[in-house]
Amino acid sequence: MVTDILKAIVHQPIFSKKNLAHQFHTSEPMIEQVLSDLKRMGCIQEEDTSNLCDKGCASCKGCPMASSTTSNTIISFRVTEKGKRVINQKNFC
Amino acid sequence: MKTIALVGNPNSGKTTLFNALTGANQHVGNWPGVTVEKKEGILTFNKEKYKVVDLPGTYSLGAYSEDEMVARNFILLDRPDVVINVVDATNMERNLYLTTQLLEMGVKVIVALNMMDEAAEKNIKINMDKLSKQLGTLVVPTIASKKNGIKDLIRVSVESIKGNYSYSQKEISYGKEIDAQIEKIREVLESSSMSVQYPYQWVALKLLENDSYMNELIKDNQGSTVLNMVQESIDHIAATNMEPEFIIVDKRYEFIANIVKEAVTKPSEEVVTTSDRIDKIVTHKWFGLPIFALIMFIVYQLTFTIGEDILGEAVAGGIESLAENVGILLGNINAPEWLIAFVSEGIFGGIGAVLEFVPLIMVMYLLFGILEDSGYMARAAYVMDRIMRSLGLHGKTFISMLVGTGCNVPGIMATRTLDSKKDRMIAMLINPFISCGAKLPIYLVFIAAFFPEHGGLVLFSLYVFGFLVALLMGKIFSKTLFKGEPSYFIMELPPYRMPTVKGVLLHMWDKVSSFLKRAGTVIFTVVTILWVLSVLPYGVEPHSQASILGKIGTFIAPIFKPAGFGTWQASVGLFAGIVAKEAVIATLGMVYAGVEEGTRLVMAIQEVFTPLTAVSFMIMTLLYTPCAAVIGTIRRETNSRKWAIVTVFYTFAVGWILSVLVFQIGKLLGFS
Ligand SMILES: Nc1nc2c(ncn2[C@@H]2O[C@H](COP(=O)(O)OP(=O)(O)OP(=O)(O)O)[C@@H](O)[C@H]2O)c(=O)[nH]1
Repeated sequence: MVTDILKAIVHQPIFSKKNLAHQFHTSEPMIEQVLSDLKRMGCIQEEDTSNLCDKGCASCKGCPMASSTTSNTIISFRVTEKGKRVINQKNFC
Repeated sequence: MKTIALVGNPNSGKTTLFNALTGANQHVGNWPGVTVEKKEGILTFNKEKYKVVDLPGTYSLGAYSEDEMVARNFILLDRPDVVINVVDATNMERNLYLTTQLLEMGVKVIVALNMMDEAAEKNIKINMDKLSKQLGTLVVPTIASKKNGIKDLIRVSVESIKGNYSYSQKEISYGKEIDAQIEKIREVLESSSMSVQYPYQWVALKLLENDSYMNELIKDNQGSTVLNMVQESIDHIAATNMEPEFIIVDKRYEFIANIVKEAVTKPSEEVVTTSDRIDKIVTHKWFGLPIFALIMFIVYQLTFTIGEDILGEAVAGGIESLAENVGILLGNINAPEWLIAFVSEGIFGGIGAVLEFVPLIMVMYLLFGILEDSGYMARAAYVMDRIMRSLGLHGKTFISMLVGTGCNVPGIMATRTLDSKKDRMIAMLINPFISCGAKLPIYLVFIAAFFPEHGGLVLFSLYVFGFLVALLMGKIFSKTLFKGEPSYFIMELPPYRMPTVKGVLLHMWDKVSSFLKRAGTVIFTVVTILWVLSVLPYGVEPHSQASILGKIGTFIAPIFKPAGFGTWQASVGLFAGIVAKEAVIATLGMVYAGVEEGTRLVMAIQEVFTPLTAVSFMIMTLLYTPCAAVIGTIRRETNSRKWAIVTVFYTFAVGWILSVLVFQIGKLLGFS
């Protein structure tokens, strides 16, 4: 299931947990668990653009408007090298 | 004293159950070495005392977080006599994931199936016998909040500790191949002289799973031969199948799916919900973009109607009367001439001109906040992703642009999430074309002066224009300077939700307060310096072409002549805008403060500009060299002075060329 879901989210680059849950006949919390497994195994990396500046980049201080970042409702993931390898594995079906 | 441990997912009702088991007999401390809370209590049953330990709530027992480590080490190293696994009956699948891991550890598990009341309410039916059989553990239904089932749970736990039940807990099979490798590694571990306190079977499983903590532990125990062997096993399996960690995790999910299929019946959920239907329309291949455009247009239109017509007038009036009163006050206390001039021209003329637009900015970000909070922006990003891709740009470029509408500094920082250098460079170089909040006052003044009837439309068009220029430049860059493959990007569509008043207001306040803070610091400094420059050398007529500022402006002005605004005032304004964009308006407000026919900047602008030159000026400010903070960020983020300098000149060139084109073509077409 983990690899199937990884494949599914790569092929439909915009996913919702709800739709994935339907697709895989499971529940949304379970999809959350799978995503967290994929993260733990280093296949995907969650990216957070909402608080880049909280991560200690003093450079944002250059402009006080900097605190006005948008997009904190957008959660995006990056497929890592390992993730790509898994998807492209010939044994992977 | 015998020990009972409580484990469960966060919010499964573990603490409630712990309280029900131990009553007031509790002690709260910390786990050694970590900041995780440790709760212990005493349970008395049939005059015998048992220690109950509430472990941190976790979804899994990996080595991922402190909580997980604390829970797993307690279970494996302190070896409680029985582990009560609190399972939320309304969310069996995810909760059973933890149960599965407990079974793997080979500890005595009792499942407390909690939240039975909510499960009943949701019409979730659970067959206790089947569940118990599938897991091979005792299952006790509970409603911890009503203390239902607690007695049974205590009785069963005590009996289990006393060994009155014969356990036949399920052992999960990961397939022949992996089971065989686990066995092999276990044997090697057993025959080694290593002092590892964890059960060998479990250690073997974790090693195959690439558990970082276990790998380190074995390495520290001179276990390099074991690790080599594990690697061989992994390679052996991966050669014909997937890497073992994937197989193992998949098997866990399979195990859970089978149990749920057997023992749980849920009412079938509505497959197509309203949210799905909305998504179908707003993310539609053809309608998605027009809908996004329409929504943005409405946002800008509302910004004008509410922000300017209703609130704007009031604030402008307020500032004006404040200026008058302060002027009178300063006159009454015989303040020096220069101070009165500075306050009325610099402070009220300059900074006041910027502040007048605070209501508009408030309304605009309020509306943006609502869109974002509702989850719509993620859909917009999805719609744009397709367009971006078709232009050879990375979908995430749009996210950095969206961030850029607040400020280009974080917009450029947001490109950090682009993993390929090519995508990132492009996203950074085109970000300055996205109009930031600080440029708003410029548009607003010019709109108020020339297009008050079409404010929303003009503002919307400017943003769209900036966006199109950014896309065009992106396309050019991706075809010329930075070629390469587009990379994988996946995004989650969050569910729609009702925006909360608090969230939206906070979002708005965030932006307005930074805008105000900036007016009081950066803009104040700039205005002060420029004011001094505009009254020197001593004796010159203030704010005239003969002042130092006037001379600087006159020197630059010819550059802007082809664009139609070759006045020294406009030139100085644009020049000051490189320090900070608000300074454009502050400067104009100050140098025009003494213009005849009233002191309001808008009227002065009407005198000096025409509708056509106003448009070309707005386009210039939209596109030309970004402010110093942005240039600095580009330098830091590209780690190259070269790219910062390139940005300064190429954005200026783009702005200049387009504003000249607009002016010249407009003139040819007979506009004025
Ligand atoms: N309806 C219902 N609510 C319950 C039940 N058990 C607990 N709750 C409620 O569920 C919420 C969470 O319970 P907690 O005991 O704090 O959960 P927890 O597992 O300790 O959560 P963490 O502290 O995050 O680990 C509380 O509001 C409880 O009152 C139950 O059986 N039925």
